[in-house]
Amino acid sequence: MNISEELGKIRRAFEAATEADFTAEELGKLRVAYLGRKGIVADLFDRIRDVPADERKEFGRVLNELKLFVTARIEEHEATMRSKKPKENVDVTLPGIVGFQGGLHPLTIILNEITDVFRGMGFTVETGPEAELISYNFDKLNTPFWHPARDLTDTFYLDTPARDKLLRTETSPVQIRVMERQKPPIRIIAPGRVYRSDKPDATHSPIFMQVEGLYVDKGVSFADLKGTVLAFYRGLFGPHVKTRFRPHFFPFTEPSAEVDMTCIFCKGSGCRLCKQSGWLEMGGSGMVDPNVFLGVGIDPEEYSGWAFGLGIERIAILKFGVDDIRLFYENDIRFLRQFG
Amino acid sequence: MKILYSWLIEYAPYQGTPQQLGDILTDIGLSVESLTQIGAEYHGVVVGKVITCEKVAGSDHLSLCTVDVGEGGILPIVCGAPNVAAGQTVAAAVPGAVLPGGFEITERKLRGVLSRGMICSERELGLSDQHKGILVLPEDCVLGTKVQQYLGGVDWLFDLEVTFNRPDCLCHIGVAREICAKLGLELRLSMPAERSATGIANQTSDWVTVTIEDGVRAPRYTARIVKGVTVGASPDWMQKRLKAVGIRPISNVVDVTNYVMMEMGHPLHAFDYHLVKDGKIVVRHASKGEKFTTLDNKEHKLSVDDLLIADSEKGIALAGVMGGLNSEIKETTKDVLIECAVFSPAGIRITSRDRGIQTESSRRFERGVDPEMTVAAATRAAELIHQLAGGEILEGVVDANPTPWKQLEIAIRSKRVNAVLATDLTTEQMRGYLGALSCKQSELASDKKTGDCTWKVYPPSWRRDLEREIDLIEEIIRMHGYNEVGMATTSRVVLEPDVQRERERHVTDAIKNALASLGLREAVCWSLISSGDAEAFKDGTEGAKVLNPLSDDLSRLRTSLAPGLLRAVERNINAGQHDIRLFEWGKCFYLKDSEIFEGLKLGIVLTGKIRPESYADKARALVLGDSRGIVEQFGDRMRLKAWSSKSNELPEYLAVGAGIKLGEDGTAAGVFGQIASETAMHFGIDIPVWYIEFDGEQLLRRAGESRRYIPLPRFPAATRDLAFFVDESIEAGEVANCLRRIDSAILESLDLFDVYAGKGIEPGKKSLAFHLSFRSNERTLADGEVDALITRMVKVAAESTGAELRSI
Ligand SMILES: [Zn+2]
Repeated sequence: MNISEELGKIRRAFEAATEADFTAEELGKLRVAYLGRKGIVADLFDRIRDVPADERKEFGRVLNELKLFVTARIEEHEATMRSKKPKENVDVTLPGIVGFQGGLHPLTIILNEITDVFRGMGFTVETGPEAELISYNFDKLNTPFWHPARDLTDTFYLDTPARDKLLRTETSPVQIRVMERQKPPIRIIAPGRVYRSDKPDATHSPIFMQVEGLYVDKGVSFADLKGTVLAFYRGLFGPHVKTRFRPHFFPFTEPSAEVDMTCIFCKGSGCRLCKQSGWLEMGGSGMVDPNVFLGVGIDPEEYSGWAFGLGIERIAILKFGVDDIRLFYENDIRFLRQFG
Repeated sequence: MKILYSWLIEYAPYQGTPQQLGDILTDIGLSVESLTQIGAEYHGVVVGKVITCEKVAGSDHLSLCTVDVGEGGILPIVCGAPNVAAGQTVAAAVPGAVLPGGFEITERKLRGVLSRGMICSERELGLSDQHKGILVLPEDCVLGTKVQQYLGGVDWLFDLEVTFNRPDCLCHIGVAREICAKLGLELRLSMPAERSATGIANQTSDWVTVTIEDGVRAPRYTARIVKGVTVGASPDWMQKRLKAVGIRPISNVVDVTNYVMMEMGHPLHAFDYHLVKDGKIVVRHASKGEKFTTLDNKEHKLSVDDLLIADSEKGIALAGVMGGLNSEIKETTKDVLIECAVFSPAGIRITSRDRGIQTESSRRFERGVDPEMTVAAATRAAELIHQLAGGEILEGVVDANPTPWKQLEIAIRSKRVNAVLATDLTTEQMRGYLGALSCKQSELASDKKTGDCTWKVYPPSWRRDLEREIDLIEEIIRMHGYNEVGMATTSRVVLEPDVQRERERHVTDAIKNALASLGLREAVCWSLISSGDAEAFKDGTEGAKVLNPLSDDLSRLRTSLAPGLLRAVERNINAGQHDIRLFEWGKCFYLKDSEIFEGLKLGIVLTGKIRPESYADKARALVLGDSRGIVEQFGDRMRLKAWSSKSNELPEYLAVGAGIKLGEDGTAAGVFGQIASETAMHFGIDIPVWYIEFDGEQLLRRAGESRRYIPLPRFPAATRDLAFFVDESIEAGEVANCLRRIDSAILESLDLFDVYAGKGIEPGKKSLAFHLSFRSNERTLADGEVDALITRMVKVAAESTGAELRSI
């Protein structure tokens, strides 16, 4: 059988094979068999070199025609297949088959956002011990020995022979550790867990997370604090928010201020969530108290600085609308799944 | 701190609304936590006079009255009260009036008789529960005017957050002082002047002596006496005010002491003079074990740290904290000894804490009272007692003042003020603000060279929080307004990032992301656990305890992340979720040589199926290899170098598993395995659960080695499969290791693809099948070369593990 006859036979076989209806799978197989890289047509093209030189031209023409024919026919079949409903019972509404999805904890997600905004403003992330020396948590932060925060009812102390440690009540001791180690300019944030002896309920958790910001340099002013805090909240909640500063008292800052932000739910017009005030309480701040500087060997006449702290759960609660702080620590998959 | 609006504006001539006042208070640092209306709101109720009053025909209790309401004319009103009568002056709600609760008065017919209004009872006006009859007003009320001006209208109660440093604001005059300073108003004070001689021979000093044994704990003690009082109930207005600010009225004498405290901020105590033996007041330390019964009828065993007010033989009050039962004011009390003293905050804290007593008094002494106010407050109380309970005020006070108050002098520099605040306040503004806060100030001194102005500031006795220049700067900006300071938005310096910190942060993120990509959810557990969990979880370390735990649930610091994660597993299973894959990255704590150490750990917990079950196939349950798989994949993601694992001594909490070693030196860095059923059961879990723990500090140090490109292979690989029979006791890892040792240069990979024991295999044996791939970077490997290697491998495996070739 010469090669032209063979071509004819292949063509007839293909015609016969494509009379019938196909499933998508069968058609796919047919396409691979005829047009694939190692398919029948490719194989015939490889055999051109075996054809006598004078017949090659004609053979090439017929072969090309065959290729075009096969291609056209397969595409025609595909088109009909696409146009009519599949014959076999394929239920495309069956759910997708998936693996387990992992994800980050909502508090990590929020902390990452906070860190991003601060890093954008040139802050470095610092950490420090959670089982902290009493002196770093209180004395060096200018907390007088009679301050109620030191009470056994407010603070967890640790049972060691030296009785010199507690579970830190703020991330502020990190400020002290950094200032003792490093000369100004200093620009850090310190995120981490803090502990307070509060009975757990919907709004209190004995263990929660804070972020503390500290900026120390020559000529740092109250206006720098206000500007940075505003920039931070805008970074986190959008350019429309405003901040309000209210006088307050913290042992380690003076002047001290409580920071309020425009209520994100009512945009400041007053609602249930902001107790009709239009403001949400967001954190404490102030100018580093000169006594704190003296304790770490920084001259308060030469340098000044500000500190700012906020609760991460508070931000998460606002951003995600969570109504019970304990949910963050229960690790119910149905809860975690909603964020990560 | 509860502050009543009507009381407050007696001292501060403020003219705006309570709401506006609330904003001002918040702005100056007295945050308004709540502002609530007291007394019901109503309008359209006017003074009327009943002209006629006749029974309505066919009713046994209704009367038809004609009521003159002044400009509103004369209205017919049907009234059901039994006490209504012609000639009465009454509260008439005219049509359109709205009573408390929003009840609107309209014209209507009762028994066919038109009624154009209502005559109100006390209850209908929200004044009391009195509903037996209508309210009858005094006759001199002007017809047609609003009844509120005779009945007292609505009042407002502020709940203020007073910070610890501002005890001077724990009273109405203190808050009024702040308002006046901020708004430039004149404080209206009618402080009692020292009484002039009455001609009575009675002098306070004839009746009482005061001895202070510890002038540090009790810097001052002022006594004053009112004799011949009649103890009874205090008047309505005083009771109302006290109740509003949260104090229970007791008797006129006791109420006065509380009233003056709420007014002037200084706690007072009243003794029955005749129960003070010999008229002697001795302020002394208690003796060890001394028994004392406080007003609330509780007996306390005192220590030498407690300060007592005593008479010549016994204690009569726990100084500054609570009075004694033995000297309290009773109905029979005739003569009253008023105490107004100053006690040291630290001392009061000790007694308050050790005796477990907190009172309005201790709260104020703990924060510090005005040392210069004792005489004025005692005198004010004496005046009020005289007014309300009669009697005579003895002349003079006995005022022991062993540690007199010292006026502080603080230097202030105008340039410094503006530098800290980034303001351009003038010296006059600064002095104006400080002056408004009752600070005395020296003349200005200006330094010609620097252009700086300095002067001296003398804060008032009630502002003991003002000690330094920075404290004055805060006062200046508080008065000027925190929100008047601009916002600096450009930063002056660029700081070089701390490379080490940045790397740690980056690696931490990478670790968490790697685990999330392996289908694990991040958990955050409390780092305090119960003693039961701590003891049931045996990982061979000694944990640290909290000295003063809130409850046993939160009494131990975790030494491992497992207890928290296992509790999370339990909680999820109980909630009907059985496929649980969680990880946590956090601090753990342990005791070593009596010191607490803390370090980061990574914990992973797995239970349930290998993947979510679907209609297409059944998912198998997890096996040990899945936990090892997580370890391997995670190690690969984090570029953990040369990590390996080997069965070694497992912690008690694992039933089966292995240690994880990292680095060329093979430092132990963690474990993986199945939680022992005893441990799992303790945590309420009765299905297999796997746990992996890494030392986080080592991960931070070792993870994320910089990545280097490895050229893609240019020559083909030669692959072979090898199967062996080995004893059941031989670990697959052991066989694999000895195969690997032959020629690691061209052995590209070695994977176990089948483990089989059972049918068709000699008992006590198992079959292990490996897939091997060989490749060189320089040439195509010849078949013979590979075969020679295989032969050697088979030989070595046989020699060292007894492996018997099954097939190639
Ligand atoms: Zn709102």
